[in-house]
Formats: sequence, structure tokens, C-alpha cells
Amino acid sequence: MTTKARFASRVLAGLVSVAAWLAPAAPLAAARWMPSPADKLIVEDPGKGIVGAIYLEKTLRSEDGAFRTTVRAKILSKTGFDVATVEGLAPDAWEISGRTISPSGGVTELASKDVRTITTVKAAGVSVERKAFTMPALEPGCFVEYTYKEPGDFGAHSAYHVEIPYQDKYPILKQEVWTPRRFTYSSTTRAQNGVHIAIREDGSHFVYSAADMPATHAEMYGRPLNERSAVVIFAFVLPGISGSNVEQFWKDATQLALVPAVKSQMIRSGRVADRLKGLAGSREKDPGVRLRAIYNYVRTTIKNRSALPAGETEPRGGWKPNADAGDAFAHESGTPSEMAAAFASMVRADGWKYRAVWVSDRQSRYFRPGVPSVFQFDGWVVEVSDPADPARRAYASFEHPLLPFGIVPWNHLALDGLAVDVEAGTSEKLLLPILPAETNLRRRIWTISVEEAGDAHVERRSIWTGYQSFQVRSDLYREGRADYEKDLRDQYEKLDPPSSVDSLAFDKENDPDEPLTSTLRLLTRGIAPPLPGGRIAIAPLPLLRESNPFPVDTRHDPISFPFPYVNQDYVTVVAPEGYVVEGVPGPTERTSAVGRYTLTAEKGPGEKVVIQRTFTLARANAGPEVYEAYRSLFEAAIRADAALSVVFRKAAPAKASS
Amino acid sequence: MTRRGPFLLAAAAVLAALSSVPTAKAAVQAPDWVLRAKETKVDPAVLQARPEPGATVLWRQRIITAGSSSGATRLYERHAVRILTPGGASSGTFYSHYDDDSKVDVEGAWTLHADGKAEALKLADVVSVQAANPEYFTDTFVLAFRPPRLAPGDIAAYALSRRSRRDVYQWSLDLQGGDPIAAQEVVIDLPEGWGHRWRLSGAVDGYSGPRSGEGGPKATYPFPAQRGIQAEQRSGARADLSADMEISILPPAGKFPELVFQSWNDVAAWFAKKSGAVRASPPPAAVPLFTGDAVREPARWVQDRIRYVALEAGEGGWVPREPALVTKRLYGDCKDKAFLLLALLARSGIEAYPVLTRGTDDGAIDGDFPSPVQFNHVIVAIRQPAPSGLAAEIRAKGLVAVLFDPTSPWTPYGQLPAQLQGARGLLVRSDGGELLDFPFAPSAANRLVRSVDADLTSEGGLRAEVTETSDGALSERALYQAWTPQERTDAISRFAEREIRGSRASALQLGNLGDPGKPMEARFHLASEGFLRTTGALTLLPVLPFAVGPGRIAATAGAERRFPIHLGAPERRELVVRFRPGPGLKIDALPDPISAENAYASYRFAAAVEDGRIVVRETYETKKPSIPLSDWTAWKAIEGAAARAAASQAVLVRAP
Repeated sequence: MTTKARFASRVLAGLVSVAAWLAPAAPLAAARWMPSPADKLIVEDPGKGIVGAIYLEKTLRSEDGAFRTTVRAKILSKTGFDVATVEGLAPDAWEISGRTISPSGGVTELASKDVRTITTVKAAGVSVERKAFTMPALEPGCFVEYTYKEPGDFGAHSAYHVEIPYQDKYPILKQEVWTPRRFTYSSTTRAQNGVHIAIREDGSHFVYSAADMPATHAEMYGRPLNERSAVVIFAFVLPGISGSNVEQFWKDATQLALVPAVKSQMIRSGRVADRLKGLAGSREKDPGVRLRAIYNYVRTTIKNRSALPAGETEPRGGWKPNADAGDAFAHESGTPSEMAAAFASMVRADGWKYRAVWVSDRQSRYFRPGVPSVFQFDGWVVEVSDPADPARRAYASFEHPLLPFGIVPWNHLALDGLAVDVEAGTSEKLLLPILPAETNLRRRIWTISVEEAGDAHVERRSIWTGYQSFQVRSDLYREGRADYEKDLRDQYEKLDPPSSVDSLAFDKENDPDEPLTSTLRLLTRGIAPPLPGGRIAIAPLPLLRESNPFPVDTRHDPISFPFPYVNQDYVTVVAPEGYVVEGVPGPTERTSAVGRYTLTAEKGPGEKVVIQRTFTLARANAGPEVYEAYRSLFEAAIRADAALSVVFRKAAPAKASS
Repeated sequence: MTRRGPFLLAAAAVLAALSSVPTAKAAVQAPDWVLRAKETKVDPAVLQARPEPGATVLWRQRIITAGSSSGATRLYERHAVRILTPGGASSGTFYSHYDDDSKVDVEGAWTLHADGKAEALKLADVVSVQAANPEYFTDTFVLAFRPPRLAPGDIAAYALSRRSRRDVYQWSLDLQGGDPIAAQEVVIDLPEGWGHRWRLSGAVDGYSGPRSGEGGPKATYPFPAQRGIQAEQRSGARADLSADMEISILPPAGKFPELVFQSWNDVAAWFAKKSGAVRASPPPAAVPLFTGDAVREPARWVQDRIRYVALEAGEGGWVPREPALVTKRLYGDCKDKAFLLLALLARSGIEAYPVLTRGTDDGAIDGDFPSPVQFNHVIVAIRQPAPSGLAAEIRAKGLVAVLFDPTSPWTPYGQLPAQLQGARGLLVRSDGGELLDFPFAPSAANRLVRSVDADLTSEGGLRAEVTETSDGALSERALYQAWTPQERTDAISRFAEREIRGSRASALQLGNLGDPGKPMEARFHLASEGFLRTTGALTLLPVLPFAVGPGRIAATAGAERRFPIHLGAPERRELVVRFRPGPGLKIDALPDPISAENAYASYRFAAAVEDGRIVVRETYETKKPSIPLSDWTAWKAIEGAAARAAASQAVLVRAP
């Protein structure tokens, strides 16, 4: 641009801004909306979920590359004031206006100087700013109305894949999203919680509208907002991948996007042939050993750049860039995706069938085959099957260096993935299998030696398998041994009664194919208080540190645990010198639709009581209608744990023998 | 107010993301002072802390300068820390801050690896985040940076300079931190003719020299090795734990007089000048005339109607806004609310004054260091025609007044919020300032009374009505007011679950929720199957559900306690539990009474049979705000008594 042209453009911009300033009517002023008599009658009604505030109307309008948001809401009590604070607007948002209408009808305008620009982050010479404001003159019973326009098809939230929720912290009486009929995004609606989103044509627009949406709130072991809410999903249409229907879309997407993405990272079989030579097992004779050997070869030969152990840093000068799996082998380091490509290249060269399974991360979004969007995925894992026995399949992921063979991170489980046959160029929906509870075992063997003064020496030997072992291993890996132990000491000191850690030892912490074991020794103070009558009582199971995650009465969202599991505890309580076992508690058993809890106690050899406790969470995922089954199971377990007491009494002095 | 925590986290998160981006770094040489720091001998005594420190500061130098013509002061910092463990690498993430009136220049940051090779931070990798949101808008930017590729054994170092706010000529420098410090010095480097005054607050390890003094333009103050400060439960404000060096810069007579604070009168005059225009502005016409109590009614109106929104950019951090604007917006920060109330009281001819203060949870105010930087809050002192006997009453020169905090939404007139009881504040009058000690309310005013009326079932279950009233510093009104009805019910469910494992709470009812003048009441029903512990022929009854005794102070593994025990405002907690044994259950034995009493607190527990019921009474009362470390055994006696009582069980037997 020439200097003259630049000057002209500045003048023009100046004139435009002056004209905007002189314009007598801002959008809201022009509309002059006032609440209806029905709006004025709305009051808090906790029974109907109307608490704090209510959105009367939300209108989101995409037009000519700009996105206008208009919100009208009523504040019902002070807990709803936050409905009138707006953050995260694009820094160049414009036509921002708002007003508060008091219960008596008085109007207070949002002053333009009260719209603030906040620097979210400044780094590397780049400054990221956002606009924000809070409405004035708030009081229970007032109404707020605000509007603003942002650049981009979806404003500050513009992306290739945009999910617009129709539910929020407060109920919404009406919400509409307007888009041009000629739009570079496909759209899909998802009904949920009784909210149905209707689509209609209005002139040159599509309008997605819904009414009477209930509020939604995050719950323990629940889902992210976009997954628990009714939504409209817009996905950018990539050239050539449009498809007249969803089936055709995935066919095109597989061939034009997903297969090339995997192939571009894989290397031809000849380049990995030598690497296969020294590996254990053979596909024909010993397929399990062979596959595991290939997996471990990749896992240990290529350092995982995205998950370094505690205290380790990237090399001086940074990582060398990798173009494909060959570079990852050459540089002995790579991303999880490059490692997966290296593994896929090797199993292909070894004669296995394989597929790349594209997966999403359930902590942010579920993959839905009905949504024509390739931007739903978080990465891919490798499915391998034996050509001689195609039904036997194994899944390999390289997201963490201590993932054992056959274990895919739990955040990809219990939802669909897309299995892509890279060689054939086809794909199909696939649900990654969840391993049964028994494979995710935590078994702990406790010996609690009680002293007359009420303290106890505790030894705990633990063994973890499956996801349970991975969880502990990855914590150790991330924190480092010293800091892990420091945290553990701190946690035990804060228990009631307190314990001090005498020693902690681990075995097989860096060998994911083996169960992880550890031995912990504690001194627990004041765990066995005296009882009237010269007795000592001990309630040992609080040492297990279990808790009930579901103390509240209501549940709206499905329950989604990371994985099913079994926790077994064998506890031997040894009487102090000179004491005998007086009482042993009876058994407890609880079985619900989602798991089982059993607790037994019996007198062991000598003056000991042996307790066996098993808690099985068999079903990791279920709808809210099953909530009571979860709640009652955890509740019964925690109650029985707390109630279990072992009582010792002083032994009668032995009679002198003549 | 300091609310930088979330912004520090945000800066650290961005920093972590950026640090994973590979950047080419040329071979560099660390500055000489970093190389010298590497050779620093660390006193083994400071490393013997438990848990073991993750990092040690080898060398820290702060240099204070001033420009003779501009008056701008600058603080230069040099800091070198050795990383000892992977977790200790977090000590290599450095923070600073700046605002519209100040500026930070990061001169450099370096990693000196264990093998002697050095790397330098690219200054473009310094991250800053504005510590602001729409309801707490400040011009403060938190700045974070981390030298590259830090690993255990490496030294992380930085050098930066920070220009001070123009309107304050003082620095308060901490001499201790979370990590041990092997060696440090504070250097004064002022123009000729200038001077400085200094004083130490807190206990400086290994230091036996003077605690305060004055000096000329040049001085160096070296300090011996300092232990790291480990978090200890009930140790009070973090700011009160570390030793500080407070420094006032003294320009030549007549130069920059408005920036020098020699006395509390100077500070009061400074604030009176800042707020003078607002004080003189007319009372807001939009506020209705009050027809009831001329003090309590406007006081409650400001508390209730003005939403807390702080706009603290630039002068907005010190200068209150006009009452008419605050009334129009129906929002403001502490000083806006205080000056609105002053205007409303003036309308009725009631004399009142602003009081600068800081809550005890932000640290005590040092009476020997007159400075505005010690304050972050404003309340109001309202003259009384005669002593009122109210808990918030103070006496100043020629004045009996009641302190009132219009920012605390639920503290009634006549009381102070918990964090202001026992705090200090500067009463600002046109003729000067007076530093006041705020009163504590008596323990009877900071009170919680809980009762549990329980029926035991023959199957071992429990059905109970739990009632709780709370008032003063122990009032739960603000909590309940901030929750929605569903959140209140959920909170009670969690509370019940925590106190009696596997129990269920229901039918929550709240009394006096919106009336700060009355104690708040919460009542709920509780049910638990399997509350009794049956073992063999014995049935055990835990007699103290919902105990009110003090919680145990957890020891830091292997470490001796270092700081006094902070009890806060005097308080009284009472519990009465009445158990009615079900059919077939007979009382066999009750636990013995337990009590402990000393000059700081008292604790009592006793169980008795009254009218066929087991009645358990527990009382915990504090008398003084803190227990000196020398009387640690006094605390242990109280804590031990409460722990024994909490574990007490009665023995029941099945009646034949």
C-alpha cells in the first residue's frame, strides 16, 4: 500500500468512526426493548430450577463475517448478578452497548468507558487482548440487555469446529442462532435434556431456535458443558470433503484427510525391516510376544517428547524437527503421533493388519459419527489384528512412555472412535473396548500392630495392575520419587489420626508390563483409644482413605468414571502385648447395579483380627437414572468402613503353676 | 487488595506452554555474579529443614537507587537459586509485577547447568498477564519467566530492575521466602545529599545487629543465611511470617516532600488530599432519605445495595469515586462504599471519618513504618455521642466512635468482620491521623451453638435433628447467602457426610438468613444406617458427631514448629448431643470427662445420663488471639483433650 493510499484509508477509517460516534441510535437504543408483563412476573422458583437469573432471550447472529450477540436476562437474586458480567470478547468487538432496567422501569446505560480491554497474555512480542464489561445498577428484579458485534463467523469463538450450547448455568427461555444460508460450515443439532433445536429458513438465513431450556451444572464424574447441553455444531467444510450425507462425508474425509494424515508420518516397510530382525517372538508362532516386543521397541527407542520425566528437559537447542516416523527413529525422539506411525510402520512390515483409530478426548468432546467434522479428534491410536485371527485385536497408544501394551488412555474409552484402514482407504465407527474391572486391580495387604498406648505400626504392601498401576506410575514419573514421597508424607501427617511415614519403597515403577508394587511403613498415633473397662478399640479402615464422591441427593448428568476397578484390602490387626481379642464385627455385603462391596472380619491365629474388604466398581459409565445405585454403594462402603471396630481387652493374668 | 493468585497461575500456565516450544539458543556466558554465586557455601543448618527444600537461593542482592532530578526510584534485583529436586524447579520460575506507574526491565535470566555450561532466556519468552477481570480491574501486570531447561543441579538466575510507584518513596523487602537463602545483601545507592531510614520487622536468622537506623546515600546491609519458611497450619498471615527490611528514602530537604512519609500524620494528610475532592462533593440525590435509624439504615443500605466491583487502575487505586457515580452504578470498591456512606451520614449531620486498614489475614500493620503501602482497605469510624458498648467501638483523641465496614455485606453495625478484629487502622481527620488498635469482640459475640437430638435404632442406625446458630466472626450467613438453595442443600449433605460417614442430610431450614442483626440458624435432619459399631457382644457409640473442638495442627514431617499458634478473634463453640437409645439397647459405660484450660483457651467434654438419654456436652473457647511458641504445650493440651474426646465412645449392651 502506498503512503497516499494509507493516508486515504486512515481518513476513511476516521470518518467511519466519527460517523459511528455521531450516529444517534445505537442498536439497543433503536430497539428500545422493554420487559413484558409476563417477564416482570418471573420470580425465583428453586423447584423449577429458576434460581439467581434467567435468560429471557439469547440471539447469536452470524452475517457477513461478523457475529452479533444480543442477550436479555432478568436477575432474580444477588446470586444471579454474574449474568451481567461479560468477558472474553474479541479485542476489536464493536457496537457494544447495554442497559439495565430497574424493577421500577428506570434505565441505566452501560457507559462506553466502562467497557474494558484486558490483556490476557503478552509473550513473544504478541499481546492477546479481550474486551469485557459488567453492567451497572444491578439489583434483584432488574433486567439487563446487552449486545456486541465481533469479527469472524463466530466471533471470539471462531474455529473450524464450533459447538454452541443451548443451555447454561441459568435457564434460557429462548435462544436463536442465525447463519447465512450460504455458509462455509455444515451444521448438526443435538437434542438433549428435552431440548429440541428447530431449524427454519428465514429469508437468506437459517435459524436454529429452541425454547424453555433448563439450567445445567457441572457434577462429580460428569461431562463438559458442550456434552451435557443441547448444542448446534458447526464444522468448517474443507474443499472436496463435503459429502451429500454423513456416510459420504466420512468416506471422503477418510480418503482425503485421515488416511493422508497417517500415511504422511508412516515409513515404508523396507526402512524398518532391520529393526524387526532382533525382536522377540514371531507373528505366526508367538503373536502376543511379538506384538509386545514391537510396541516396547518403539516405546523405548523413541523418547516421548510430550511427557518427559521429572527433572528432565528438552535438549539444548530444542528438539530436532521430525518429518515422519523415520526421523523419529533417527532422532530417537518424537511425538505420540510419530511414535504411533513408527509402530504402525513396523507392524505392517511384520505382516499384521492394522488400522488407525481416530479418537476424541472425552474431557472436552465426544466423537459423534453423525457430525460431519474431522475436527472432533484428539489423536489416533493403533489397532492391530492377526491376519490369521482377525477377531483378536489389540490397541496401542504412545501418549505416555509408561503406558503398557494394550492400554489406551482412559479419556478415549467409552465413546466412539473412527477406525481407518489406511491401506484400503475405508473407515468405520468403533467403540474402543473397556477392560473389565478385574484388570484394574489395587490389592493392599496391611499389618497393623497396635500398642497399648494407642499408637500402631502399620505396614502396607500394595500391588497395582492395569489403569491403577498406570495412574501411580505416571504420578511418580511426573513428580519424581523424592517429591512424590514428600507429598505422601504431608498427606499422612494431615490425616486424622495422623501418621508419619517411616519408609516407602517401589518396585517395577518403570516397567509398565509388570504389576507395580510398593511397601509403605507408617507410625499412626492415637488410632486405638481406650474404652471404659480397660479395653482398647481400633477402627482401622479409615486408614484406607476412601471417600464417597456422591453425598448429594440429585443427579442430572450421566456418571462417567475413568475406568472400572477392583480395590481389595486385607487388613490384619494385631493386639498389643498382653491383650486378647474381645470382639469381632460381623460381615457386610452390598451389591448394586454398578458394583459390589464386601467386608468380613474373623479372629486369626494368635490375638489377631483379619479383615477382608473388596470394593468393585463394575460399571464405569451409566445414565443419571442409575445414580442411586452408585450413591448407595459408596455410601454403604464408607459407612461400614467407619463402623468397623476391633476391640481388645487386657488378658487375665496367667495362673501360677504349682 | 491483592488478588494475584489466579493471575500467577495463568502466567505460569502460559509460561509452561511456551517453554515446550523449542527455541534455538546461542552459547552464552553467565554473568560473573552468577558464576560467583555457584561457589557460595551454604550453611548446612538452613538445609536441615523438613521437608527437605527443593531449591536454595545462593545469592540475592537488592540495590535501591533514585534519580536526583526525576525523583524516580529503582530497585535492582539479582537472584541465583540452585535447583535441588525436580519439584524445586518451580523455584526457577520468577515473578515480578508492574503497573501504569511503574515498570519492570528484565535484564536477563540464565541457566547455569551443573556441567558449567550456561544458557540464556530469550527475553521474548517473558510472559505477562494483566491481573484484571471486569469486576476487579487493575492496571497491574504479573510478569513471569523461567530460564531454559532447568533440571536438578542447575542454577537459575535473573537480573531485573523495577521502577517504583511515583507516589510512594518506600520499599519493603522480604529477607526470607519459601526456599532457604544462603547469602544476601541490600544495597542503598542514592545521589549525594540523600539519605535513608531503615528498620527490620520479624526475626532475622543469625542476625544480632541493630533493628533500625538511618544512613546516608550509600550503604550495604549483608544478612546471614536464612531458613526457608514452610507453611504451618494456624500460623496466621503469610506476610507476618517472614522478616522484612523496610526502607524509607529521604531526599534532600524540600525535594519531593509529597513522597516522603515521616509520620502517620503525613500518611493521613496524603490520603486526605487524595480524597478531599470526593469528601467535598454533594451527597447523592438518588439515595432516598432514611426515616429510621440515621446511622444503621444508611450503613445497611450501602452494604446491601452497592455491589463490590473494584476499579483500581492508576489513581483509582487510591482515590475514591464520587458518591453520585457510585449510586448510579450501584457498584464500587471499599473506598467508594466508605465515602458514599460518609456522604449519606453527613447528610444527616453525623460526623464520621475514613479509616485506612488491612485485615489481619493480609498481615499486621507495623506502627513504626508510617506508609500508605501498608493499607489495602477503607472502613468508616462513626462518632458516638456517648459510649455505646458496641463491640466495634474505639476511642481516639477526643472521639468515641464505632467502626463499620460497608464492604462486608453481612457484618452488622456494631461488629467488625473477623479479619478486622484485632487489626489496626489509620483514622484520617483533617487535622492529622491516628493509628488505632481495633478491638476484639468478646468470645460470646463470636459464637457457634450446635445441638444434635438423636434417636438410636435397635439396628444401630441414627435419626437426628441438627440445629446450629452462629454469630459474629463465626457467622455462616455470608456463606449461605452466596449459595443457591441447591448449593446450600449440597453443602449440608457434604458436611453431614464428612461428620458421619455414609449419612444423609435432608430438610434444611434456615432462620434469620437475611437479618444480620440476629444470629443465623440452620436446621436439618440426618439419617445414618449403621452408626453404632457392633463388635462381638459390645456395641460402641461414638459420642461426638459434629464435634466443635479445635482441629489438630498437622506437624510438618520431622520439623519443629517455628511460628506462634494463631487463634484469631476470641470465640466460643458449644455442642450438646442427646442420644435416646433404641429399644433393646442399654447404657453400660460412658467415657470419662475430659477438660483442659489455660490462659489461651479452654476445652470441656462430659457425658452423662439424663432422663434415660446420653447427654454429651462439649465447649471450646479461646481467650487470646495467639499462643506464643514458648507455650506450645498449652496448645497441645487443648488439642490433645479435643482429640481424645472426639475418639470417645460409650459402651452399650443389648438388653436381655
